[in-house]
Amino acid sequence: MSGRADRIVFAGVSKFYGEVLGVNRIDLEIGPGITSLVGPNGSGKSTLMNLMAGLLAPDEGRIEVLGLGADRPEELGRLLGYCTQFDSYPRGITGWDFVYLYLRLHGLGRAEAAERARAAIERVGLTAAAPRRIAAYSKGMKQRIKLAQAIAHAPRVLVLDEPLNGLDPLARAEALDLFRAEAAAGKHVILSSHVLHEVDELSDRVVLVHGGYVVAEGAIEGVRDEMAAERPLQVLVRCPEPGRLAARLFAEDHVVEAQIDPDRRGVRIRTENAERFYLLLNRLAAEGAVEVEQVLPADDDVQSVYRYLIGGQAQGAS
Amino acid sequence: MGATGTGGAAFWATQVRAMLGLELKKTFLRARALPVVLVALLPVTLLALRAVVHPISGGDPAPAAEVARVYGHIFQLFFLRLVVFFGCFGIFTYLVRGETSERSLHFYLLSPMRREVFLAGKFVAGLVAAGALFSVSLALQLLLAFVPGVTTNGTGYLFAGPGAGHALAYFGVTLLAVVGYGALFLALAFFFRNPMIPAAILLGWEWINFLLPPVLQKVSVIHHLQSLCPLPVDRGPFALPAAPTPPALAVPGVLLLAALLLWTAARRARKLEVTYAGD
Ligand SMILES: Nc1ncnc2c1ncn2[C@@H]1O[C@H](COP(=O)(O)OP(=O)(O)OP(=O)(O)O)[C@@H](O)[C@H]1O
Ligand SMILES: [Mg+2]
Repeated sequence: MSGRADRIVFAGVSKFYGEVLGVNRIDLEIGPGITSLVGPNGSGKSTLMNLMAGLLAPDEGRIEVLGLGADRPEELGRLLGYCTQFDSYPRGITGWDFVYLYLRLHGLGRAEAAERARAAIERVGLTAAAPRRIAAYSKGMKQRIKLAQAIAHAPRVLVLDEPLNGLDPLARAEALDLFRAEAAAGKHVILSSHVLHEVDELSDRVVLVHGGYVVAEGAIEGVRDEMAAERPLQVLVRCPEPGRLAARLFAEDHVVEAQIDPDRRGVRIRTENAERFYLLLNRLAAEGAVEVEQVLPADDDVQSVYRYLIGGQAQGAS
Repeated sequence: MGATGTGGAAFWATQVRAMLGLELKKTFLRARALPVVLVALLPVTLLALRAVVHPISGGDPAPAAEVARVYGHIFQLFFLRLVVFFGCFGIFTYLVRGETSERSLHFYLLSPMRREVFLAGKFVAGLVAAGALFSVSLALQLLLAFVPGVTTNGTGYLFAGPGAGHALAYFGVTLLAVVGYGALFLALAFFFRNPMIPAAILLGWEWINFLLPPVLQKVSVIHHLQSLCPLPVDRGPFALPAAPTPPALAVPGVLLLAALLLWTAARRARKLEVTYAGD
């Protein structure tokens, strides 16, 4: 596992919430630097993040964080700092107590915990507000105190779910500086966002997530938002029983074409509505009607975004 | 980090101590805890009323032995079966369910803490809070029951007479009840989204206990607690007499039950997932 000691690895990871698909068949490796998960609402960003933080256990597949398996969640806590998407804190707690008291769970003495809490709170610019109750904070301040809590124990991996939400331009610039500084220090910084151009310049790598699948990933150099829902889409779905999938898909009015791939290991699909297609595919996968191995962009449009994202060398799709 | 690794009894003890501080601030020293405090003080209020009203209404002080007998009933039928039972229900289930309702569970699960330590920390926090609360309540109850003017030579009975031994036993039983019911409700809260229903069933079981065949009576917390009480309580004509379990068995019995429940809960805690993000 030595080569994986500095990577976060997803191998064939699926997660279902009962019948609802969270993410499906994720193969992903994340190295140091800034990686952004980008996708529309409900695409599976938070699910991926909860999985890597050990808050969720995968139904299938394996996850390793810097060589650490899921069997030692308590070790993960030292390694990883997490900032959730939603604002939730123990009710009535002050900013200071929120950072300091949870830091004490790391087994730190009072003095060291206080020093670290002070430093983290100062870093997000909340020193003056720290004695006040979080309930009275603005949205942006809440984001920042969460960030302070996530970085206070100096983790090597930072998982930040939509950390830029609710930040004013100044706070946003400061947050971006903080992410860059952490990445420059060799840390893994993983962010999520539902707008590509919000994170494109910042990120070393972007992972496009849609409908529970990773549809594209790679380095990014510019801005482009190609995640509109109601657009035509061509994809290649790799599956062991392409005939069954094709027959099932053909019954849908938004599917214009469903052609079995020449190698008989997938179906090439053209649909007029990407959103509806992904929803359908998820439902079929969740019901167990079809087994989906991989979804690849085969569309001129997506293809161009994809090429764009990985810097000119399209991969995977034909 | 200053500390390395996540193992070792000393390290776990430090984490449990840190949890105590955290729970004190976020769970116990809050307005939300007031209802439980009020419930715990209910018998105190009643006894205080008596202490005030009895002399005014011209009643004569009652003999200490008679007061002790009546208090034995208050302790067993009211304090132990209702106040401590429901108080522990409130405290120990909130320690778990509160984390999901306030969406703060992930902060614990993200800390470098073994799930077993997390469970132990929750249990210890509950023990400290419930133990302190019910001990204070009990102390006030005893003082008020034997207050001079209401009880003949009450203080003598309580501090120098047989009352001292009784009081000691009551404190012991109360703490043992907190251990037993605490473990029970902590485990329930880990297994049920709404622990109210199983708790109601348990309450029923503990209440009809004295009507059950003696063998089944022993399958309860209350039987063991009652076995340890210093004064017998008249439980009505339908009660089936069951020999009290001797203290040498009753105390380890409750402790063993608690350990078993905590072990079950710890196994469950290892599989805890945070899914409140979606609901
Ligand atoms: N606790 C849950 N119970 C049921 N379904 C869930 C739960 N959490 C997520 N899901 C479902 O899993 C899918 C992925 O959700 P997820 O929260 O990971 O998306 P997301 O990309 O983070 O979305 P957003 O941009 O809105 O935060 C969605 O279809 C969602 O409805
Ligand atoms: Mg999300």
